[in-house]
Amino acid sequence: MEVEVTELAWLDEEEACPAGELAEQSHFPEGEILELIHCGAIPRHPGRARSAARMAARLRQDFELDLQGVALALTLLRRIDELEGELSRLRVFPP
Amino acid sequence: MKFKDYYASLGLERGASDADIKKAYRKLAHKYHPDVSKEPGAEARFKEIAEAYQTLKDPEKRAAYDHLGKHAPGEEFRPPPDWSQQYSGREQSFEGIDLADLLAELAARHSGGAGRGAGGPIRGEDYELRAGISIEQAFEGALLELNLSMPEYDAAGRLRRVPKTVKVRVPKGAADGQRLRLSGMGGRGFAGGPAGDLYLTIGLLPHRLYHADGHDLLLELPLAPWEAALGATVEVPTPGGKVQLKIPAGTASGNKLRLSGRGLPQPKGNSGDFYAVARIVMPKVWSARARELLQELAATTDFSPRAELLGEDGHGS
Repeated sequence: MEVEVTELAWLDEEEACPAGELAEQSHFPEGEILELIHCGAIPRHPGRARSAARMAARLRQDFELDLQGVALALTLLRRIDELEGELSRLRVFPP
Repeated sequence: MKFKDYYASLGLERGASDADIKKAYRKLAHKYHPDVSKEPGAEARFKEIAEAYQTLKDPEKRAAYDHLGKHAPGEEFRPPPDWSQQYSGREQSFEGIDLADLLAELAARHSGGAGRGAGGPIRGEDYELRAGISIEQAFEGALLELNLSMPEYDAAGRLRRVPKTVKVRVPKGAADGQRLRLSGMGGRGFAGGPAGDLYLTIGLLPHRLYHADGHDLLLELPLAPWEAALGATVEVPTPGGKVQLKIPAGTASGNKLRLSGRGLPQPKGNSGDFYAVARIVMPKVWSARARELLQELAATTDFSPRAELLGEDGHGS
């Protein structure tokens, strides 16, 4: 079966992203999503929030983590991501 | 149906205890989980590990799996004659069935009919994919062909793997890590439920010339010492075509020269910026005349590049 896709949507920073939608996408209860947002594990930036919420769902299921474990893992993974981006830039263009 | 050796996937013997199974899974998941691992092929390896764990951690699924007997991985096989009666409660064809789907279906049936066919409409699964595109494709847009194998329920409520080719027209404006949602392109819904969505994460492939930072592009621009000192107009490649760039006199290595709006386009219509990062390069061979001129320059200039190190005034003429 071959499907030509014409409809797709950017998940960008200007698209609204309420906690209820994040909860539905990640299968987390809305209260837990709000807790993850409140502690900074899920960023308020909508595009990144969706990605983080889905990562939270994968980490919870695959590593059998509780909410605090998910929050810590998300925060550390984002920090690693930022540092790797910075390292990559510095490798190409040293100061 | 092709056999999968779930014990071997986790590096275990058949008689492994539940604790051993959990321990082996956790160890391998830490190594290969696609959200934490940078190992090549980690995603495929993790799928194999997770599939094995989903079966072996569940006593009913493990018993059904063990009863299939031992076969070589990838070997076409049929379950023993009494297997269907004992575990699925019905005769069925095993042609084209994925072992994991079969075991998942049995577990759902045993857990009180939670499988398809009971209850109301069920939304299809969402799926996530990653795709790499070049900087040129991000600049111009790209047509990607994704070959998927999606589990779908047939009319009788049985899971089947259905090959599916999805052509995705990625509009210009993608940046590294940006995500797209393809509505309704995920798993098919059941009993009137809507289809799930397919999420596509775009990765920019490394480029020979450019380095992307969001929608900005950086290019290392080699300059001759006299071009940097005296200023020059040089030709610079950008994804949109070559441009003439004016180099100000006195440009130092590492100086960034900005070409506004010449970076990657953004979905809403603006574009990032293009930065040429100056790098002063020396000729490998100097002619005798060039050496004379350099010696003359050295003799008539009191500039000291190490003045700051020595606490002196380094500005010469």
